[in-house]
Amino acid sequence: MKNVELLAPAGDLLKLKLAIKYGADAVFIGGEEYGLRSGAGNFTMSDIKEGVIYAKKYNAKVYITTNIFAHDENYVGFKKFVKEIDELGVTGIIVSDPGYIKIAQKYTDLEIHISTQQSITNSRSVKFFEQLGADRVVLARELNSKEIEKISKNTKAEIEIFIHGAVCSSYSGRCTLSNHMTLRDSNRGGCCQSCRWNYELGELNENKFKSTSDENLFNMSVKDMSLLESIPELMNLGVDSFKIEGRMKSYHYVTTVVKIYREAIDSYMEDPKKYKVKQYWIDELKKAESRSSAAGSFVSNMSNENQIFGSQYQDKDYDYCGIVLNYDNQSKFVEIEQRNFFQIGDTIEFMGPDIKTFEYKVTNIKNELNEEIEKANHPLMKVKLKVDRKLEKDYIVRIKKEKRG
Amino acid sequence: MNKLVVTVNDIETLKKLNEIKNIKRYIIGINKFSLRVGKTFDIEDIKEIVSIANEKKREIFVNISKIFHEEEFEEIEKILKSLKEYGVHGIIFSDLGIKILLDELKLDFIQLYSTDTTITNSSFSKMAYDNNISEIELAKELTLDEVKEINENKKTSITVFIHGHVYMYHSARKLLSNYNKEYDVKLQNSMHLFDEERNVYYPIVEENSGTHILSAKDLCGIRFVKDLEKIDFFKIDGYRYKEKDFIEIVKIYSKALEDKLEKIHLKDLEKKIKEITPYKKYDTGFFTKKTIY
Repeated sequence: MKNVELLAPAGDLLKLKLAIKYGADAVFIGGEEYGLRSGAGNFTMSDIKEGVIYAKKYNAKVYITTNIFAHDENYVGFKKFVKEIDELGVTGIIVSDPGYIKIAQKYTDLEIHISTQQSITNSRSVKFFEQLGADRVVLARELNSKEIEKISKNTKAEIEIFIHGAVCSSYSGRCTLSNHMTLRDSNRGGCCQSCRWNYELGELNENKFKSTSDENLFNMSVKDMSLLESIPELMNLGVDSFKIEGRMKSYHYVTTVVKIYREAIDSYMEDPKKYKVKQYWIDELKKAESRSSAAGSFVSNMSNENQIFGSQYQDKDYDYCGIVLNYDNQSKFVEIEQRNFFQIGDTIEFMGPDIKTFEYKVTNIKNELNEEIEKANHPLMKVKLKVDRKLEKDYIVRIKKEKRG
Repeated sequence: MNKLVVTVNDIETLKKLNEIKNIKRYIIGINKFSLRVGKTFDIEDIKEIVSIANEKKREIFVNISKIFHEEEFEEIEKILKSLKEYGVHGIIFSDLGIKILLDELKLDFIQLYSTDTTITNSSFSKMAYDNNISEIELAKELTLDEVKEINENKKTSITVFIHGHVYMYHSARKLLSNYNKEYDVKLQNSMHLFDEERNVYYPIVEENSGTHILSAKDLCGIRFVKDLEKIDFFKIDGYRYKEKDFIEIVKIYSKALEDKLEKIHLKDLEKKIKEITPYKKYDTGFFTKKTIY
């Protein structure tokens, strides 16, 4: 069985470090230009430098998304950009524009990974990009497991697939709703997610609209992808990399999702015959969800069960509420940087890369001056809690949401 | 100026279009593999279509614009061989896997690469050229200046979409069927979405290939015919037009080319098009709109 790369999103430098710490073999990040997701917290050159140095320490790789479909104006500075990131030790670029591919090939040693924006759904299409010199192809998200297996058997390039996170409801690259509705170019990072908006559905005759949707408004929104329960099948497809979506998502999301897939993959690799998906993993992933999820095209025919009708976001049961800065072995006080309100009486959880998540009832809080306080109510404030179990820097703290009366 | 490329989905219409000057080629659709063409032809009819087009030395291109899955190649392989046999001149594809298949089969068609949305700069033309794809069609999301710049730097022939419905979304998912299932209703497979904020209606159509959403307004680019005179081909798409109106519209474009009309006169022709099709709303697409991101 191949060792499959677990590839995580990193919207900023801290997310990069956390993703690697929590078990990612590689991360993908965005520079300040040339990538989709212009709204994500993108990396400056010095961030990229620091990120690559950090990744190298852990033997992890860094890929950079330059996956817009460029207009001529978007070529300005591209050559300089790829030369610089190549020198910094970035492993490869995720790219869809043929001009960008040519430039990277001519001036750098960067690996060329063809973005899912190219909606590659068959082995001949992969072959075309092999001929262009692609080292890796990211497949479209409309494929089932048999198709993926066939493609990876019949091609030479490395194959990467998405296993978790939000997906486009359209074929990637084949949607310009955003351009039409808001003049924001979806294929250059401006997507405004019009597919998640609600619309009345009806018949238009002679300029008269007759709504047929009543209170059941229509949208094109798709549930997030979650393939945790298909790990054994995934591991035997012959693919090279499993990708988690979500450069825009929180520290909580990145750490939780990476941790759980890491544990599941390692557990399978250790003993495929005895492997069983743990309810604990399923529960943990749920805590980091912001939309409901489904297995998508991988196991089904993309029916109504894979779509979100009505409200787009579900009520979360857990919120990210802090990150561990340090732990004092002697006094057993943990210092936390607050990211969300919590107070005495709340149940919080500690999650780390190498521990099983555990619950903790807040009975005491101290501020930086060692004064007893009732609540951690300022963003980024540093507070201390006494916790008997040993904790480490970068453990994540989340809070179980209870209905406050 | 033989540069009009027009869609056809009926033999009688083809005969009428054959009488109009300045048409270089016809695009036809076939069952299952062509996206957004309305009526498709049976493979057996194509021989006749080719011979009608040949009378005027015009070309027949078959649109197989679908994104292909592994299992569909066996069938499309057979179809492509028949199309060659029947004398079809060119194949329009959006899936580069089809390009590889054509090479494998050593079928000598004119190859035209068109995705509607992603072909946005001249590097696509270079890539096409390097891979023996002789033509590309540009994305619709480009300004006039961008189109002209690409045309200056091209290595292949270029088609620009100039008139017709504007597609903005294609999902593999059957969104209307899914909605029907979810709410236990029976809507048709062709509806409209109402965008309240912009007060416009978008056609939404479900086909075998999935769901397509079209722009609220069709593109009418006749006023730019002069600006774009160096472009090789103008495509006029008759999807969702009444046949007789479509023929009139093609005639108007033909006249614009024939008389080498200046912009001021082109605007008169634009008015005429609007009068012929009062049921359509038009704008000039992204020729005059720049997107941000």
